[in-house]
Amino acid sequence: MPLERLRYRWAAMNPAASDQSDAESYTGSEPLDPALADRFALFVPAVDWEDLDETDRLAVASPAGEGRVADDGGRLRERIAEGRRRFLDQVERGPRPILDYVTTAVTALNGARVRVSPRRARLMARSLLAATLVQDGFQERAARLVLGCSLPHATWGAEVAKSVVDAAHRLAWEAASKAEGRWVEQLFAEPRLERKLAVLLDHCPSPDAGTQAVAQILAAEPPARAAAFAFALYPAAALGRLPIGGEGANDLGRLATPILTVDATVTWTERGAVQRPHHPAFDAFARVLAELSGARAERARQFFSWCLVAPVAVADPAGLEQQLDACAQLLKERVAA
Amino acid sequence: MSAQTLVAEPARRANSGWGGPPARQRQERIASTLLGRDDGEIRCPRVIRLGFDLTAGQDPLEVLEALLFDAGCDTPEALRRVIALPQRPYICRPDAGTPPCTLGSPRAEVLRHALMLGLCTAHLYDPARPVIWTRGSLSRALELFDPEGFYA
Repeated sequence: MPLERLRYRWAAMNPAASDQSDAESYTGSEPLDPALADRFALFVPAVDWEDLDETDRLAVASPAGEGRVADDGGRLRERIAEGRRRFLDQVERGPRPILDYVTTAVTALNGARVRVSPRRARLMARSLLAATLVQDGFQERAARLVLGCSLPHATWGAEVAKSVVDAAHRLAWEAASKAEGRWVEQLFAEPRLERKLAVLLDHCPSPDAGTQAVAQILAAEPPARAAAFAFALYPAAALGRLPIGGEGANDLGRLATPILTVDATVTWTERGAVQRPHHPAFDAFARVLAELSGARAERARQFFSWCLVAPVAVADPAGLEQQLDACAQLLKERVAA
Repeated sequence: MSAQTLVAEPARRANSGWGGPPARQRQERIASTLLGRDDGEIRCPRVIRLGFDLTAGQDPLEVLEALLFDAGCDTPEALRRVIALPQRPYICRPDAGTPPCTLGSPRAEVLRHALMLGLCTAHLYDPARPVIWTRGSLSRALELFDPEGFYA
C-alpha cells in the first residue's frame, strides 16, 4: 500500500526476552523477526533512570510533565527539513570516508560472527551521511554512536559484545581517516585468507608495504592459518609475482619450505585396548581429503601432513582447506603463467 | 612373609591398581613432498643441484677467491659477465645427497656453482639479489625447484 506522505517511521518496543533474561525482563515483548528489524535504520536504546543526571531526573519526575508535548517553536521541524534537503542533495555522491568506514566496519563485524546484511551496510551509510550533515563533519564520536545504533540484534534478544563493536569501530575509523593506509585496515578486517590475498593483490601500493603487511599477517594469525597462507603464497612470491619485496618472500619461505617437503616421525600415546593405525589427528584430515581430488587434494594432503609432524592443531580442517584452495585458485587466475 | 617380599610388593601394587593395560607410545613415519615429483598433477621439477663435496678442512671461500682472481674478476658479482645464469627465481631445499661438484672440478663449473650458491637464501634462488659468498653459503648443498606448476 503506497504511503505517499510517509517521511519517517519509528517504533518502540520493550527489550525482547531472551533465553538468558532475568526475572525482571518484560515477558510480554516478543523478539522481532530479523528480516523485519532489518527495515529499520537505527535502534536507539531508551535511557533508564541510572543514565539520567540530577537535572534530568528532576525534570522527568516533575508532576507538570504528565501529558505535556515538547514545544520548541518549530526549531526541530525546521532543522529536520533542512537536514533532509542537504541529505537528498548529497546522497548520490556519498563521501568516500563514510563508505570506507561502513565497508570496513561491516566486514569486521561479520568476521567476528556478528551478522550484518548488505542492506544494513547501506542503511548505515545513509545514517552516517545524515549524522555528518547534522554535525557539519564526519566525527568519530558520532560514527561510533551510529555504528552501535545500527545493529538490530537487541530487537530479537541477541547481545553484541561492546568490545566487538569497539574493535570494528577502531578498524573502520582508521580506514576512513587514512585513505592511503586503508588497504591495510581492509587486509586485517577480512577474516578469510583469500580475501586478504585479494586485498594484497589489488591494493598494495609498493613492495615494501607488501613485505610489511605479510610480516604482520604471519605474526597475527594462528599458526595453522599463517602456515596455510604462506604455503599458498610462497610459490607465487618466489616467482616474483606478488607485490612484496625479497624480505616478504623470505618470510613466506621460512614458513612454507618445511611444508613443501615433509619427512618425519610422529609419536603419540595410546591407552586402552584400541590401537589406532594413525595419529589421532589423522582422522579429521582424512575426512576432508576424501572429498578432494587432483591438485587440490595434493596441496591439502601436503599441508595436513605438515600439520601432523609440526605439530600444529587445526580447529576446522575443512574450512581452512577451502581457504587454502581459494588462495591457490586466485593466484592461478591472477599471477600464474 | 620375608623381608625380600615386603620390598618387592609395593612395586607390583603400583602397576596393577588402576586397571587396564599401560599407556603405549606409538609412532608413524610421514613422508611427502610436492617438489621434484613426476607423478600427480602438481609438477615442481628439480632444475639443478648445487654444492661442493668438501673434504675435511677444505675452505671453499679461500679456493673460490683464488679461482675468481684467475678468471680475471675482482668480485663475485663480476662473474655474471662470464657465466650464464638461470634468469628466473627457484625454490631452494637443502640437499641431503652427496653434493654434485668438487673444488677440483673444471673452473667454469666450480664458479657456476659458487655464483648460484651466492644467489641463494635459505629458501630461494634469486638472480636479482646481490652475490654473497661466505664460508657458510658456499658450504651448503641445495636443490632448486621450479614452482610454476604449484597452481595446477
